[in-house]
Order: sequence, then structure tokens, then C-alpha cells
Amino acid sequence: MANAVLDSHQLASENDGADRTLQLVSFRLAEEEYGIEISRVREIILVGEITEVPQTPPYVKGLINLRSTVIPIVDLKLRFGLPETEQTDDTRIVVVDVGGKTIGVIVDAVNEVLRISRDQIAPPPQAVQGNAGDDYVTGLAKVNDRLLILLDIEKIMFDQDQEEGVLVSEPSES
Amino acid sequence: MATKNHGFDDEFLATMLGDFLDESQEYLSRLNENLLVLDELVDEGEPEFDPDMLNEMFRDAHSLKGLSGMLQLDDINRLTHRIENVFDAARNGQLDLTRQAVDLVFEALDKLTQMVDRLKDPSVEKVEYEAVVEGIRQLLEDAGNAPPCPCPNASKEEEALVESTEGTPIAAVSSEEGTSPDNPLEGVTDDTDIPDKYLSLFIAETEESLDGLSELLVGDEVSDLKPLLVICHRIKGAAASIGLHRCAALAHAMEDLLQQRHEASEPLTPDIVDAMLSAVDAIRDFIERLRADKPLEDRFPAAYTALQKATGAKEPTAQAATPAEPTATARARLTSEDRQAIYTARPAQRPALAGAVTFASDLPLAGMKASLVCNRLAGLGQLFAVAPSEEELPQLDDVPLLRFGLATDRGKEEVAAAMDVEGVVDIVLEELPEETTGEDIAPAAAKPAPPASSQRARDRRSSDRPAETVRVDIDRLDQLMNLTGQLVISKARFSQLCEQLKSMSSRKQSLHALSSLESRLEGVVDELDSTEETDLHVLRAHVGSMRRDFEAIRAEIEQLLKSRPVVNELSEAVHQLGRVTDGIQKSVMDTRMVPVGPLFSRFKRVIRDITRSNGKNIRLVIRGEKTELDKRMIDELSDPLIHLVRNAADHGIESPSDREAAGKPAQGTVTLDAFHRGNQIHIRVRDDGRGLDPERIRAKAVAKGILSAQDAQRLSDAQTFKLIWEPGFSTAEKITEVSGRGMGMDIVRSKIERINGSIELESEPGQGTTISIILPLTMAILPSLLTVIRDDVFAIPIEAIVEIVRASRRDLATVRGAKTARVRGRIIPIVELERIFQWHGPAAATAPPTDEWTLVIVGSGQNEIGLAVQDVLGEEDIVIKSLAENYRNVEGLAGASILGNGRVSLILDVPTLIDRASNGYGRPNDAGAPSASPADDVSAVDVPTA
Repeated sequence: MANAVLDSHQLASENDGADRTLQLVSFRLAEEEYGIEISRVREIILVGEITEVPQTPPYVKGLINLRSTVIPIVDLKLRFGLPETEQTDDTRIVVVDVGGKTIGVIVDAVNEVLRISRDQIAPPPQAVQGNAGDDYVTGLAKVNDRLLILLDIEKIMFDQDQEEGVLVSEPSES
Repeated sequence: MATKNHGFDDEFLATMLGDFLDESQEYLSRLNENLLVLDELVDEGEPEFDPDMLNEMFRDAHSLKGLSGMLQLDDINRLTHRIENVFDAARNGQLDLTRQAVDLVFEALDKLTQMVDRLKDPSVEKVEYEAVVEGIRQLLEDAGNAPPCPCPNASKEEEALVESTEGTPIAAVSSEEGTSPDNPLEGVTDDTDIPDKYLSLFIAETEESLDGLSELLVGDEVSDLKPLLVICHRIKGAAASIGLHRCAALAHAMEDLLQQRHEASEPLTPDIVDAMLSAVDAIRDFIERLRADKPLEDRFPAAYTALQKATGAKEPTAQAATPAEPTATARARLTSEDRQAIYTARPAQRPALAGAVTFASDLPLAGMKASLVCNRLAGLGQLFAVAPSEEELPQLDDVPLLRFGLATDRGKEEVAAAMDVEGVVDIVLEELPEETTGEDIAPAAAKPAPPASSQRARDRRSSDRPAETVRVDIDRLDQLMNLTGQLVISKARFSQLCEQLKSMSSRKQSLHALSSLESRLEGVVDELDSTEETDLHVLRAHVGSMRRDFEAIRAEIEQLLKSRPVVNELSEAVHQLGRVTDGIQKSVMDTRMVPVGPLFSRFKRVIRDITRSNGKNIRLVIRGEKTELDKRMIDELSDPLIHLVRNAADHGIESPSDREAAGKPAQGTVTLDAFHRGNQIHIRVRDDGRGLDPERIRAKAVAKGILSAQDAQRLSDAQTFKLIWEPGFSTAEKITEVSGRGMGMDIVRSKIERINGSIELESEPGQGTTISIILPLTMAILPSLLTVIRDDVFAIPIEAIVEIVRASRRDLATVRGAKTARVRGRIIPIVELERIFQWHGPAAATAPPTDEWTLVIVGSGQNEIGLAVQDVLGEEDIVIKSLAENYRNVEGLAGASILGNGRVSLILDVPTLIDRASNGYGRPNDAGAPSASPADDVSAVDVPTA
């Protein structure tokens, strides 16, 4: 009986650990290219009508209806303190699963899905940490001539320290 | 069964585990309830326990033991076995239920509950229960009953195995003491009054079990007997637990047969499979009769014989379906069925004893010894209801248990002494009750004719057929509710489109306009014709072409008008869709409704523990336990309610001496109440204690820095009481065993608000405190008014709306810089969402015109505000989506909803808006306003009169 309960946990951890490679979705914010783990990404959608929500930090753009589920939309550029820009034809919402919640992230463009080896990842230099704001940067990956900034999407969403920046107030409770 | 079995497939196990969680909950709650009754009896110091209750408790513990054993939940199995021991000893009069014993069982039940909870959430740390087991062992030893398990020091594993193979359930006793091996069912009768509720559960559950059993039996090759065993055990347990002992006995025989095969590692022969199937059919037939409320007859004896034959044919040496019980250690016991059988056979007008004797298992000439006992007893009085019967006793080689009634004037000791024959292991003697009440005990004639007595039972129950039930995963109901929500949204969209179409096709006026235009054109043409001017021919040609164009337009419009009937039909169809949708919505809601009773019952225990620890005398009154609530809501309510009840009992009710000093009865009362009011459900926790002390609350709020001392003094008592809901006012208490998880009152409030409820508090010094939780009927659908604010659609719950008014310039005034409107003599503050909320973007370009406002008046009594809106769109049932599902709760918003056009709209949380408005958010010149008293404000209102 207990085995049956444990199985799913085991499975999950095995999948995480055994792979030597990492599959990423890469996207563009302003002039920089970022990557997040594909396992976090549920889908990529066009930007539709967003309902603004008062009493929220500016980077929470509002709510959308994703097939009868209401999800919040976060503008990553505003989250990182970059200037807001007009939407273009390339602007997309990357829908991610974080801590049991589904959240949409606005990015300037989605580039590709790529597979990199863990060896390609370097730890983030001090200077870059300052740029992106905090310790959401888990590493830098060099892919051909490009530099990919790897993000820990969970940290971005649940950062408790940022003033008024708590996106989801009780990550541990749910 | 002797080894950890890995042949179980996981799915089967998962289903079993789910069933176990469900069932164990039932057993545990019943055990707890009964224990509370015992607890009171012990307190009253007159330990006259109802044997039926002790039996029931024993049975519940036993069922739990059996189930857990089957699932190899060794820890639970071990502990339930101990609890079973206690009740077994208690009902046999071998153990006095003292305070210590009751407390110990309480503790054991707590541990059990934790263990069961741990099955749901394995991350919880392991439950330490060794001390309880040891405590019970000690208790039984002190009472002179070593636990029947001869090996208290055996390893857990070993002991657990003993448990699971032991299989001497109470219901099956009848088969062990059967008079002849041919018919162990003789003399076994079903209980007479089975509540419908349990009966329908039994029917549903057992039918499922039978289906499973048949399927396994007719499968290609029955190699693993374990699943079969589990099912038979489940049928046995289900039947025994509601008193269908004949059915239980048959299932027990099936189980035994399988057990034998399993232990011998032999497969089932076709004969056995046939016999098993005929037993399945017999039970199925029996259930069919139960369901149809027909007179109860069964084919169990025949089925039993078939089982016997099937085994006998292949294995003549086997002792058939009554396996060798470990009779060496068997203790004599009387089941309630025994008692009843003896009772009904007793001669009138004589005091009588009921008794049972066990003999050593390997006793030579046991039958003769038993006869000897009978002879000796016959010398003391009139012997009756002897089983096995006196005639056959001398022929028997083995008598596991001899049961009898004895009408005699002699005392128990004397009778017991007379029975002291070599080989007798254990003796039980009980006095039969003097008077016959008739109703509860079946008539004597019913003894050999169980169908008759069962029939009586059926008749005594309401003649309704038991409701059939299906167990459904709550997630599926959630899913259904979600889909219904979407259906409601689609319906709204359809209605909206239909209205638009209608307005488009009802342009009759345009046709009139066209006609008049045409006739005027006609006039022009005539005019032109009458003048002889030739250079007007160009103009004439133009007019002519215009006429043709108009004709074409007329044709088009006429065509369009023809679509009207179709649109009307569509409108009718959409209307019908709406009705069906409403029906579905209501039905789905109904399926999710469960009575609040079981939730309330849990608080008996809470109160009991509190009174025990703080020495107060508190009575819990429960009302409206039949009130139904959404299952999810009940789940969510549990924690906050525990906190409120605990507060009432702990802080609200005074000590008995204080109460008497205040002229109140020493016993305090906490009342739990649930009732419907309109579209809402109210749940009330009331105590008749000392009430809240406004001064102390003010002081504490100031000390905690929630507000300044100056502000605190200005608050009315009612406003002061509201402070207790403030975050940080009542901090989380340390975790205690009584309340489980302690929480602050602010958490209580937020938990209630999360299920769209609200919470109110009233308190009268010296009279007590009442806390009301007001909940919507469903968490999912909310009748709302859709309004436009800031060019966006906002929903306002209809519940909160008083009226909608248009306020013109002359109704407006400014009080201390805040806008107000005069509505039928009331001065109502105007609240602009624009101002009381923080928004990202700049204000919408189209701010409401300052000379006319549309105000939605919300709130009640003194707390009314007028919410300024740009437009009112209409009323609609909207589906609430929690913001916390994917984001977090936002102050001032009750959630979000998806409109007919697919857009997300926000639902306003009226109480918060009122709070914010009255706290002065958004007043343009709050600081600079002259600090006049409220009375001055009103008189200073600048209300133009003309």
C-alpha cells in the first residue's frame, strides 16, 4: 500500500536526476535570451484580452481565461525592472506550471526548444545576478554563439523578499 | 496470507485503500461517539453499560482490525486488535470500564485517527503508539485478562500475521457453534432493526463486491486467492456490521474455504468455483430481496452445503469450512444473538441465566464431558436452548463451545461451581433481564424461523425501499461542477447573442420610414412630371433610379423581417436550454450536499477534552445537524469551527464557581446551530459565557500596534469587536492535542472568506458570544449584477445590493471632502473604485459625468455605500473562479468570473469595499479635513434644495 503511494514520487525524482541533458524553451526579453526548463512549460499562446486587477504589483498585468481557468499574467520585463515596450506580432504568453499553479508569462518572442548538456551550464557570475534582480538566474548556458540565461521560474514567482513582490502569497500552503 | 503478498495488483490495492479510508472514517467516528457516551456513564459513576453498545464497539473495532489486516496495515491492525480486546473483555464482564480504561481508549482512537490520516498523507511523521498498546495490555492484565494473543512480546510482523489469519469475527461465531456440520446457519438470525441508511450502503457495497467476486471466479485461472479472500472478508464484515449474521456466516464459510486453499497453496477446483458461484448467487438473491423489501428468505444453507461438498470431494480429511480454531485458548463468549436466542426460549416467570462454556480443544470425549455439564446443570434448574443439543452432545468428538439457558433461583457462583468438570476452560454466566419488553426481542416462535423475524423488521421500518447509493470520487463531482459552470457561461452567451439578433430583426419602423420616403419621392416625381421644363429630365432620371434603389432596399428588409419567426424560435430554444441548465446546476449542487451532522458530532469530543482539562462544566447542544452543505465547504469549515468552539469553551464559558456567582447555572452551554436562510446557510457557534470585554480588546489592539489609543477610544463596542479579526490580533496558539492546529482569528476569517462566506460576531457582556458564519449555498455559482466601471465589467453579488439609483447633481454633497449622495433621505457615501483601489494604468478616459451618477447601493443598515458605476448591464448567474487557484486572493475582490464573451471579469467583495471606504481610503483631502464630529458633518451637509 505504502509502495503505491511512494511510486509517483520516486518516478518524478528519477526523471529529474538521471538525465544528463536539459530541455529548454528559449525566449527573448528586450535584447537578452532566456531559457526555462521545458517541464515547466505547459503551452505558448498569443496575447489576448487581459483583465487588469487592482491592488497588485505593476508586473502582474492581469487575468486571462485559459480554457475556463483564470490565470494571472506576469510581464517578466517589468518583473526584472526593464522598461515596458509595446506588444508586437512576436509577443507571446508562455504558460508555466509553478508550485501547483498555472501562470502566464509575457515575453517578447519565443525562439525555440533546445536540448543542452548540463556541462554547458556555467554558474551565474556576480555581475549578472545584479542585472536580473536576484538569484532567479540559475546559470548561463553557451549555445553556439549565443548566451542563454537560465531562470528558476519558481523563484521568480514566489520571491518573498521583494516588497509587494509576492506573487503568490502562500506557496507552502497549497 | 502468511507472507507479504506482492501478487496484489496496485490498482486493486488502491481501490481497497480508498474503501478502507472511507470505511475506517465511519467506524472511527462511531467508536468515538459511543465512547463519549461511555465516558459520561463513567462520570456519572454508575457503570451500567448497554451491552448492545459494547457489542457495537467491539464489532467496529473488529471490522477495522479485519480490514487493516487484509491490507497489511500492520500498525493499525495491531492497535485495533488491542481496542477490540478491551471491548471484548468489557462486554464479557471481565473488565470494568474505569476512567483510566476510557481515557486509554480515547488515546488509542486518537492514534488510530492519526494513523489513518497518515495513509492519506505519508509525509506526516510516523505515529508512535507503543505506549498505548502497552497501556492496554497492562490494563487487561490487571483485570486478569491476558490479551488472547499469547505472544505480547512477539515481533510486530508475527503478531500482525496472527491477526489476519485469526478470523474469528463475532458474526461468524454462529457457524462455529453450529449444531450440526450440515447446517451452521441454523439458529443464526439476522438483527431486526437495521437502519435504512446502512442497509442501502450494504446493498451498494456488497453488490459491487459480488460483481468483483464473480468476475474473479469466472476468470481463466484463479491463481491468486488473495483478492478473493479480501472480497469475501469485506462481504462478511459489511453484513456482520449491520447485523445480517446469516449472510455474514455464509461469507465467512467462503472465506474459510479460500483461506484453506490459500494456505495449502492449492488452486481452486472447478467444483469449488461452482460452489462459490452458487454462494455468490445466494447472496445476490438475498440482496435482491432486501432491496425489493420482500420477505426475507435465503438459500444460504443450500449454498453452504454445496461449499462443504466441494471441499469434501477433493479433500475428505479437511474439517470443511469450520477450520480448527485455536480452541485451547478460546474463551467462552455470548454474542448478542446467543443472548437473544436464549432469551426468547426462556420459560416465563422465572429468573434465568444465560451461559457459555468452552472446552480444551484436544479434550478426549468432549461430547461426553459436555453432556455431564448439562446433567449437572439440569440438577439446578430447568435447562433450555442448549446448543449443540443435548441429544447430539454425546456423539460429538469436539465441542468448541456449549451454549445454554438455565432457569434457576440459584446464584451464579453456585452454577459455575457445578460446571467445574475436567476439561472446561472458560465459563461465562449472565443473568437474563427480568421483564420482557416485547418490541426489542423477537418472539419465541421466531427463533428457528429467521425469515419471519426479519420480515417483522422490514415491516417495522418505513416501507420505503432503501435508497440506492453510489460511491463517487469527490474529484469527479468537482469536475462535474466545473463543467456545469461552463455550461452556465455558455448559456449566458447564447442568451446574449439571441437578444442581439432579436433587436436586429425587429426593425419594423425602418419599413415605415421607407414607405413614407418612397411616397414622398413619388410626390417629387409627380411634381417634376407636371412641369414642362425639359432640362429637368436629368433630375427625373436620378429620382427614378433612387426609386429603384429604394425598392431593392425594401425587398431586403422584408427578407430580413421574415427571419423573425426563426429568431423567436431560437429564443425559445435558448430559453429551454436555460431551464435545463438550471436543472443540471441544481442537481449537481444537490449531489454535492452532505449533512453537517457528522462535522458537528466531532465537537462533542472537543468539548469533552476541554472540560476534562480545564475543569469547566460544559454542555454541547447541536441543532440543525440535518442541514446540508457542499462537501467541500464542510471540509473547509472543520478547522475554523474547531477553533471557534474551542474558543467558546475555553475562553467564553466561565468556571462553575464564577457562573454561580454571576447567577447563572453552573453548567455552561455551547450551541452549534445550522440553518438555511434564503439563499444562504448560517452556522452559529454560541456560548452563554462571559462575553467579550471591549475594554480589554481595545487595550490589546493598542498594545499590538493595530491602532492608536486615541482611535481605539473612538470605536463603538461593535466596532471594537471587529478588531479580533485583524491580522496579528489573536496570534496562532501553540499546537495542542485538543484543537489540533491552532490558528488566529484572522485565519478563521480568511478561511471562511475563501469559501465566499462571511463571519459576524455579537457579544453581550455576561450573556455570551455568538459567532455566525454565513455561507452561500454553493461555492461555485453566484447571482450577480454586472456593471461597468473603468470601462471594464465588474460583478457585484446580488446578495449585497440594496438598490440601484441615479443621483443627479442636486442630490450630491460633500462631507469632509468625501462625496455623498442623498437617497430618499439617507446620506450615502459615494465610493469610486477608481479611488479606493490602486490601479496600474491612468484613470480611464471616460470618467463618470459629474452631474449624474449611477450608484449601486450595497451593504446594510449603517454600513451602506453607493458604488459609482458607468453602466449597469444586468443580472446574471456567474461562475466564481477563485483567484487563489492560480494566483492569490486580492483584497476587495471575491474572485473572478468568465463572461459570456470569454473575458475575465472581477467580482467585487462588498464587505471589504465598505471597510475600506469607512477607513477613509481614497478621500481626496483626508488629512486636511476639519475634524468635526459626525453630528456636525451631517448638519453641515450642503444640500441644494432647489
